[in-house]
Amino acid sequence: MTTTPGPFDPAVDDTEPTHLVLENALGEYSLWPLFRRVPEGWHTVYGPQTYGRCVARLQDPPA
Amino acid sequence: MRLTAAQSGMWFAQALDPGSPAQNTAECLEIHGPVDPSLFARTLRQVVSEADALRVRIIEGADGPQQLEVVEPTLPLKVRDLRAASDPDAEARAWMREDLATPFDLAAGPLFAHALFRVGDERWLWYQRVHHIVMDGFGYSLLARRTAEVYTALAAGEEPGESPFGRLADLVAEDTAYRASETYETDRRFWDGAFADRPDAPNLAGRTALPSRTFHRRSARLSPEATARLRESASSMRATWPEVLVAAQALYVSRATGSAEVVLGLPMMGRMGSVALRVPGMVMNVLPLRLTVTPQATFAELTRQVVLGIRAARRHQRYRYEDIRRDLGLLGEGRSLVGPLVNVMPFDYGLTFAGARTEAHNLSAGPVDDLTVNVYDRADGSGLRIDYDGNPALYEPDELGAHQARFMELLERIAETEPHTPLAEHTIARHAELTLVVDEFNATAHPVPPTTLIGPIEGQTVRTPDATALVFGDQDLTYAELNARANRLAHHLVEIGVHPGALAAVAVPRSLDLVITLLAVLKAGGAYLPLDPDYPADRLAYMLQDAGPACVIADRADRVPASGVPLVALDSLDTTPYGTYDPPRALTPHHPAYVIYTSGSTGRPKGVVVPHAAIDNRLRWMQAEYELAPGDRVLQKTPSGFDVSVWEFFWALRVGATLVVAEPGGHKDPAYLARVIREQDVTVCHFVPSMLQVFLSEPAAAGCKGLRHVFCSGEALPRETVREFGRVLDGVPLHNLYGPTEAAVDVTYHPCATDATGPVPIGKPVWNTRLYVLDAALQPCPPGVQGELYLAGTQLAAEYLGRPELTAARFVADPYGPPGTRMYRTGDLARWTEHGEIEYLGRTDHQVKLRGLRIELGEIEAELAADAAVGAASVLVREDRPGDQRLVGYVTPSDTGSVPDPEELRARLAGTLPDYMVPGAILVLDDFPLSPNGKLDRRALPAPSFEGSGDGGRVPSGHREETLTRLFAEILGVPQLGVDDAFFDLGGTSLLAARLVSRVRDTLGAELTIGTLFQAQTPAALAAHLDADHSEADHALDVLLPLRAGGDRTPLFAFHPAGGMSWCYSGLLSRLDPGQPVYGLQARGLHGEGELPSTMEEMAAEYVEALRAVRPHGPYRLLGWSVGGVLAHTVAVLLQEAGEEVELLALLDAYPSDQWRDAAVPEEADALGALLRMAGYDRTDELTREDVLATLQREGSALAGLPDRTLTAVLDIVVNNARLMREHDHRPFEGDALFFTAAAPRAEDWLTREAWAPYVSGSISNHDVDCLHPELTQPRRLDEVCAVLAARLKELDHA
Amino acid sequence: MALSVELIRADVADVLGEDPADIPVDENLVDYGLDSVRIMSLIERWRREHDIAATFVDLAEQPAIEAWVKILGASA
Repeated sequence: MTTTPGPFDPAVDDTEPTHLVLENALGEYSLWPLFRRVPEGWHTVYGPQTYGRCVARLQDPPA
Repeated sequence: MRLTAAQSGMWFAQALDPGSPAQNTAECLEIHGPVDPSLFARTLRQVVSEADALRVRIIEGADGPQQLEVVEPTLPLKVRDLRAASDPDAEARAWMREDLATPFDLAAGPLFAHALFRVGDERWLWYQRVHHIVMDGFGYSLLARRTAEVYTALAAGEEPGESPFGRLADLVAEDTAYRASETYETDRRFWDGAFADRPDAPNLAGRTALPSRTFHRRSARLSPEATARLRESASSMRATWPEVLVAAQALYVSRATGSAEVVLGLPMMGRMGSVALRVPGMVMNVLPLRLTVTPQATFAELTRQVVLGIRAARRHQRYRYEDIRRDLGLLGEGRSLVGPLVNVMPFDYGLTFAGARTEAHNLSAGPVDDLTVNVYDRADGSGLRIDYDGNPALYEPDELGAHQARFMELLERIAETEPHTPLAEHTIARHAELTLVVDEFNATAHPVPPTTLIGPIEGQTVRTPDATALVFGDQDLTYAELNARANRLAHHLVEIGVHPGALAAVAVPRSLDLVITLLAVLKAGGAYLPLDPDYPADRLAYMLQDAGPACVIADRADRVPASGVPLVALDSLDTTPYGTYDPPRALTPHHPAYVIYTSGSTGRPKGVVVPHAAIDNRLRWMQAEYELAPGDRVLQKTPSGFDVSVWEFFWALRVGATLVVAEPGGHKDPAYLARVIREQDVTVCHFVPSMLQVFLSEPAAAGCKGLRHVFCSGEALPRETVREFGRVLDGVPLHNLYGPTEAAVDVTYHPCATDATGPVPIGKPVWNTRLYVLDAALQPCPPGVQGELYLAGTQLAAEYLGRPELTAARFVADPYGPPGTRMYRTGDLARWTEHGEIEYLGRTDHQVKLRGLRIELGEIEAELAADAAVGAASVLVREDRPGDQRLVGYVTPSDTGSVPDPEELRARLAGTLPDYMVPGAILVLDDFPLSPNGKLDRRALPAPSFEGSGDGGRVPSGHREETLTRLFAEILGVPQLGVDDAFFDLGGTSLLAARLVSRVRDTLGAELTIGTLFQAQTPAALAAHLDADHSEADHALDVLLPLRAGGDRTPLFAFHPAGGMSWCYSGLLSRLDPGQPVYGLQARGLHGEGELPSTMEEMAAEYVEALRAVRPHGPYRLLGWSVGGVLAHTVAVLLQEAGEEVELLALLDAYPSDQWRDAAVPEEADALGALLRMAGYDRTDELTREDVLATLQREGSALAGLPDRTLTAVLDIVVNNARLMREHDHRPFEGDALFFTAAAPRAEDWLTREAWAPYVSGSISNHDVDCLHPELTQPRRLDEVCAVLAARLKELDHA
Repeated sequence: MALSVELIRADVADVLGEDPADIPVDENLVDYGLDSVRIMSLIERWRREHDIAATFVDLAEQPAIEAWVKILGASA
């Protein structure tokens, strides 16, 4: 079991921006770690933000 | 003189293996120019006289090892001119290799050796070997420099300058002073603090080993250009190139081991500001350096971490590495303090010998525990030389080379990359490896038409309307009938709101109606949501509320709790008004086909939505790969709530084959499964591996050879299960498949080879599917390196129903696929093999599989923690008894003061969780055990106590004894058993022995033969035997079979009946005195080799020899049943003729050859009958060898486990023995005989014991046993026989 | 050009990645991260630019700026 957070886990204290929310042409969303370039076909719609904020944004996207 | 601490370290390392040459260090200096050997010898003599350390020997004194100066050292300088050799360099190297493999004698000395080779007219090799206890790398450089200086001066006819070297004594004094100083204490406190939490030090091999006597070395060079760029890059970061190398190695180790925390070992010369700068000697120390490597940090930041880390460590670098290990208590545990070592040797070797230039080559840098990366910068413009030295116990040369090649490419990339980019940009895979794992292994593109799950079924119906589609018990439906019924229901469903995009929950037990209902939902265009009616009402209600289906379809109204969702109760629905035509629907492949709920890690289950395109791809691939045909019959046994059931339900119906539906609950009963597979001619079925294991130990399973394909998925498939499959169902293909619910059932496949070894791979990707093994930076891992498995392609689920944040966190953007595509994060650890298959390695989180059922331990923990009395909760899967996995929960009390009650908690959980998720035991602890770093230490959680098994003396120790005791009791049908109770003493028979062998194999995975059981008859002895892993020959077929070798009475020798084997006499053991040794004599040739005896006399003589080997002289006790009695008599005669005494001759219904001469010679059929009787079956209908073998195998007879050649041999022996008996002429035996008659009426009514009269001089005392001849050794009859026999033996004992 | 104590200090600070003001002239430079590779790079630089004769061992024996000033014959 890894004790270090993985690329799609929150940081240990989750106070710093570590993630993005991406969207593709089909309207699908993806959480994404800041340390990697955004893959082709996806664009950033939220962040850089903390993991918690990104999750909240996914649960309640603006209309 | 005492040793320095550095030297003591080397002393203890050598003491571990005194004969090991691993502490040899060696160097070779290539001199390009003329060399005068005698001048060279003089030079060396002078240098040796100047370097104290070279002139010592080490002895062990009363207070420990001491170094003594050897005043007149001999100078072992070999000089060889190799110019005449065909390859002078090779020969020189061979000599050096051999010398390097020669250990020094520390007590005798000298601890150095030199050699000088002439390999060219103006090319010489100067070889030096020195024991590491007296010299380190820096010391070598001092010696080399001085040697060059002295030689150059002498060659010029000048006096060399004064010796620049200090004294060894000063080194020792400085060391002694340090160890007494306050600095020593400060340093010790620093290190003990720095490693107080005992971190893991990951290494590339994944395990540790003791140093070997040799090492594997792979050498490489970084190009001069890359080296220059590396230096510049270092400079720009205010670092040195060794620090950059260390950072690069840390990055490599971190990614290759999947660990953010790494510990590297840095050998340091340790001479700054010390007299040691001028003393050639052994000073060097290894500094452990802890580093954290994260993907978001930049390379510059990592390098800075290295710089500052080394700086801090250097302040305390005099404290020995060996002492840190000792302080932390690591020495005994075989745990390492550091991972790989990075040993940078930047010592300037720009030396000249009287103008001749030199090149220095290291040959050995000392012992290698794991991996040492030795780096040489000779500052001669040739770029860095980087050697990977690996411990052969941990690394194959190819593996070592692979790591090195990757590291070299990584260095080149680092040298070219801007240091302020995140480390995530770097991969440790070589470019060629990237292409392999991302593209080549994933070349699975395959065009598929845009069909749905249901379309092809409707299409098939048109083609084969009258073929049998569905079978359930004694009911069946044709394709047309099935289609009609499903359509009728479908029309009703359309009416009530089921359409593309809508869900219909299905709570119907396994039956024809279940299949009809699923089809109906699909035909209406909806997606089905299977509900297991066994779930607690609470869970069903949650699922219905969460999913919001258009309706629930159940077989009866009370199947599901009321929920506000419209209910369709099939038992009260009349669908006859509806049409039988396929309903029109606007269904596309993008619409959902089914929604299956899986365990949620934070407490609530989640619904996985799988679209038609995904499952259609999966079924089309399956058909192409395994080619189901109309004659095939697929078994539907998996509950509909598990996605394996999807291909069971629908595959057959798409291709005109038949679906056989098992009865509800039947999937758990192996006997039922075997029966239905045979009776219904099932050709395709699925097992979860743990269920397959159970199935294979069901005796009837072997009769299922009509299967064409068996699929396994849902759990890791153990290699032993595959082997067992090959034994039981030889010839039936077994396939291992893998895939989470989130990827349309399975995404990988692997055809299992029953004779292969190693872990069973999950295999290659299916059509239109990509697999990625990614590291912590989402970079692809090269083959062999572990990472997390991600899946991409057509088979991905669309989403988690109503959970956008979960969906976005698990179905993430795919950086390696077409633009805008996604990949699913499985949480499984895996790696690629060289051949493009994936091996499953475990989980990254708390998800487990229990008998194939996916469980998030977090879900159970959340439920437990929700109870007011519970403070914290943890749940584990424990396997304290092998093969017996259980869920165990641990809770601590909350602050409320009330103590949690395990039974109450379990009852509570049973109300919300499916039964397989309710822990079998819940333990209440005061506190959770913590590891040194403050985390829950799962390994310290206590095992729940078991029900005790057996008294009778000693309690079983160890799980093997316990398991075996349990199995013995089970097989023998006794309630309790002691570990020292012998199997046959308690009534074990060969048949029971066969069952025990089978059970032991299944439960403990241990190979056992009945022969072993004869040798080790108690659970304790058997456990010890298994522990010692004897793989000796099977004695069960030897001429002399020790049924019970121990005991103080005169041994009883029992001779084999017609088939040649004496196993039937094992029943005597429990019926005679435990101190009565019993030996069986068996026919030569049971092993299937050699010729059979040609006369009975010859046979008997052989047996005499065999039994006299254990008992050279009489008196002898002999017994024989059937032919064995005749043999016993013949042996008795031979023994008497040899002057020995025979005190007992017992004949069990045996008649002299006179009585057989006129009877017909038995044919093979008779022999076969005899074989069956030997196995304990009395049959007359099997007449061929194949039949008999089949019968034996089906009935699980031990004899079936014998090799074919033995069974064949037995048949030959039977026929041979019958012939020999007819041809034999008896001679008289002087003495009495004890006779047992099988007194029931028989066909051979002329047989009479009186026929022995001419051949037995004394009396023949008889006992009738009311049975037929073959029954005489069966348990009840043996009771009678042995009552008499035991009494007679007792009389003889007291005589 | 002659080697001065300030120049020595500046070069030492440079290879250590520190500010010259933070490097005292009388302290053991090992505590500030001076190692053999850094010493050798300094020697290389000073040989090139100031033609010094001191060896690695000379400087490594007393790793402090004020000691080096004497060894290198620099002006104070």
